[in-house]
Amino acid sequence: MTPDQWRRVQELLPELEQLPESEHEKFLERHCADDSTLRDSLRDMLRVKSITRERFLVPPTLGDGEADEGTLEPGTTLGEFTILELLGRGGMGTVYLAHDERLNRDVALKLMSSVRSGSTRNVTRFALEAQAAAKLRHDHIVRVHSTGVIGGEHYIAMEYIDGKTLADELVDAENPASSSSIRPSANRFRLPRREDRRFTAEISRIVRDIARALHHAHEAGILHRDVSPRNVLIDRAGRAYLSDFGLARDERSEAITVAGGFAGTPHYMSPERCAPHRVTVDARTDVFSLGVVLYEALAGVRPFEGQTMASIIAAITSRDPVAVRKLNPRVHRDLESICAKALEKLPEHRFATAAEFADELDRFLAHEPPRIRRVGVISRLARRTWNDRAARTGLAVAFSAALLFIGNWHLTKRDDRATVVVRGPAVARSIAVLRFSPKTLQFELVSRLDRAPDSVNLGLGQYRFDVLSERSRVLHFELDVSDVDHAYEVSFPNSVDETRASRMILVQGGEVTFTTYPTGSTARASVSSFYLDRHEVTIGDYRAYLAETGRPPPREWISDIVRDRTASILEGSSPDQEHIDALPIGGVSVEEARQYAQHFGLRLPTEAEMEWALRGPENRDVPWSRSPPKERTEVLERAVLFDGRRNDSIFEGYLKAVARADSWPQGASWCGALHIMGNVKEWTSTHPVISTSGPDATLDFNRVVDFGGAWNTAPALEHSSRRLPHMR
Amino acid sequence: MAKHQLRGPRGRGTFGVSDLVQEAYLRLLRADLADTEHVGFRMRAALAMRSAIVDHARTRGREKRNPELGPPVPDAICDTMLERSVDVFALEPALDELETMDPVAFKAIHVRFYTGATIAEVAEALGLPLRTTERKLATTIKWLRTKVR
Repeated sequence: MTPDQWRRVQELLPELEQLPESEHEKFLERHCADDSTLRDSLRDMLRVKSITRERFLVPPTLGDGEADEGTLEPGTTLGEFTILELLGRGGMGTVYLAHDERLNRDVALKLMSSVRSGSTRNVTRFALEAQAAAKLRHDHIVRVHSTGVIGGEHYIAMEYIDGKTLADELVDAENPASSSSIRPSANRFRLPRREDRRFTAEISRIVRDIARALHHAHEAGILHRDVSPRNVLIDRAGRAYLSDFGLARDERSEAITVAGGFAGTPHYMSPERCAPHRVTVDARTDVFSLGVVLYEALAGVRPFEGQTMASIIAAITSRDPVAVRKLNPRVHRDLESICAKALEKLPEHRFATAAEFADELDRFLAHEPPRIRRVGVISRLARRTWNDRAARTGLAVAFSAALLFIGNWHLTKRDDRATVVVRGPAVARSIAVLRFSPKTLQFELVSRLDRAPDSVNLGLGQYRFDVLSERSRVLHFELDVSDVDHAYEVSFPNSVDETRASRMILVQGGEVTFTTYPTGSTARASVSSFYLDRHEVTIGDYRAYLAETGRPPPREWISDIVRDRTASILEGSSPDQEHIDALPIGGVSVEEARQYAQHFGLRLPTEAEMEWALRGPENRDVPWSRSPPKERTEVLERAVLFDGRRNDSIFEGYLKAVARADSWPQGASWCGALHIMGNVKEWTSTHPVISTSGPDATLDFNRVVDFGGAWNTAPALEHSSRRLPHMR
Repeated sequence: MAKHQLRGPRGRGTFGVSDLVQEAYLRLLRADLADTEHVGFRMRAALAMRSAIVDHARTRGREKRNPELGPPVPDAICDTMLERSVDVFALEPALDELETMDPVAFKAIHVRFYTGATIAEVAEALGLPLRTTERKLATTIKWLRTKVR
């Protein structure tokens, strides 16, 4: 079609669609008698009816998978089945109550959606559901009787459970008036109201039974992967059944690469299933989903909510749910802990198996003390390192040579200890004291303070203080004890700035190998999951922080050469302010960077964490490839833009050469961190080791490892393992 | 040009398609990411996503490219988008034809379908009124549908 014809199509089609069908031909005759291409196209387009149903070119979004389809009338016969009534719709098909005339029994008949059956893969998937479920025989799993094809329709005939889904029961428990009017029946099981004392026990029992059913499936090598209240059926006697293995995956069968259920609600998806990169999921993904079911039943709301698919997924991966007891104080503390454990972000922190989950619920139902720890503060701190947050502060190392100055060396190792006064946040809770171990490259728990304010005596070393804030986020305070004659003070902000937190990305932990400075030796570290700023701290961020705290601008910014220019920028009155505010803040000393982080209860990332955020599971040397770049890539070109153009002042050069902090998504690392190499260097919290003699390694507190190269470093240096530690 | 480059073999020293697709996917899911990119970036991401879907269709059922690396986008997303392309191999030439006859519609459909933008976002990205965008998208989708039977 030519552009002109296409223009005509766009004009004529809306008019044409307004007309009754009988006038279409007349209209076509009048407007495009001499153009058969145009006429045929319009005719074809008029005939297109199925767009909505098949969702042609509709981007995947929330509420998918509930495609409206035709319903079979009661009385319709399909092979040996007579359709009695519509029971519901699932991700893959429609479920009817039907009568099996041959065996004279009622069955739940699941028919594959005609829309979806177009693809052979879907047929395979549907058949796999049947195969997977048919293998399972368990008191709490809906039994599959038979499967096959009748009249071109793929079906699964299942045991008919006369009852409701847990989702419906929960609605009724909220709102008992609506249910009693439908089917008042004395014998029928009804979930007590949420206020009722028996409610939590009933829910615990149901979830326990489903956990047992899941464990049975897991032992058979089948993951359910779509556990939700809609897939839990409750019969008239109150017995619970797990149904709908529509997304189930048989671990043993090689051929099955059935994808996860994207269509449908993401509320019950585990964090690992939300990961954009592929993560192996195991039984614990079902444990998480069942945890969501338990939480929702107990609290009356879902733990992770949002208006869009995006916000729900963000909540699942990075937000802690509100404690169950805050929403429903009748829930016992132990039950709350069980629920919290199932909902841990990292699989290794959850129940290892669904059976363990069930066992805990059994103990709870028998009024026995739990095996797991209660949701106490310190156990959470020690365990829940996933919640650690690292701030990333941009730093342009060399926009003035004055940045490099020689610090004082006072590093004779002494046995004396420095006194550190610790002030807690408004919500007083116990505080974990951790010390950096140069051996494991991790912070290790050395002490706990039960109340704040309190003081503690600490030897030389690099420390971190962690406390759980009101909204279950971990606040950090980092402290170098480099001088025992000095008095130190630790204090926390009252809460995490949620807007700030929303800009961070979850970096799933793992094992990382890299070259350390200055020895050049290979280091291995196991990095726990943590949150990292998606991009460098911007000038705009830093301006807001200065205004809020009244702190002085970075020292580099008030040097004689640049003072006039920086003053107008810091005031916000520079002509190109909007652009400048989006650039990363440079010229920040490590002390200033640390203070910035402390203000928000964040911390600087360690060298190992930055390496991991860059390298990821593929162990990349640069974010965008597995090997060091042979040619200059775009990102690196950007980094050296400034070379050879030294007419401007260095500060002006910096402003011209660096890219906006939120730009260059092409160069994002595996976890989504931008500019992790290039643009500006970033501070880490890691001090180089100057001596490894004796039991403890001695850290060089005067120097800190920076990371990632900058706009003015040579591309040859752009390798994550090559960096220069800078004087602070 | 971008398209040509994107459809070339992977890993020629520039960043691979996967990074862009990854970004497109993140965009699709995390609508709350600051959307500062202009239509140029969106288009590159969309074209990358499109080629990933074609790839996905080609390799489907066969051995995965590299099980260790995995695809840059979860299979589920590719599956859903593939399903909603109805017949991806017929859709491809139709999209190419669309590019020559209406570059704006071409962009609109890419930004909409492959990067998961709302119609309002498409309108904004292309600098068109909402109503016009809506109509253009509707007509374009209908026309494309006639091509993928």
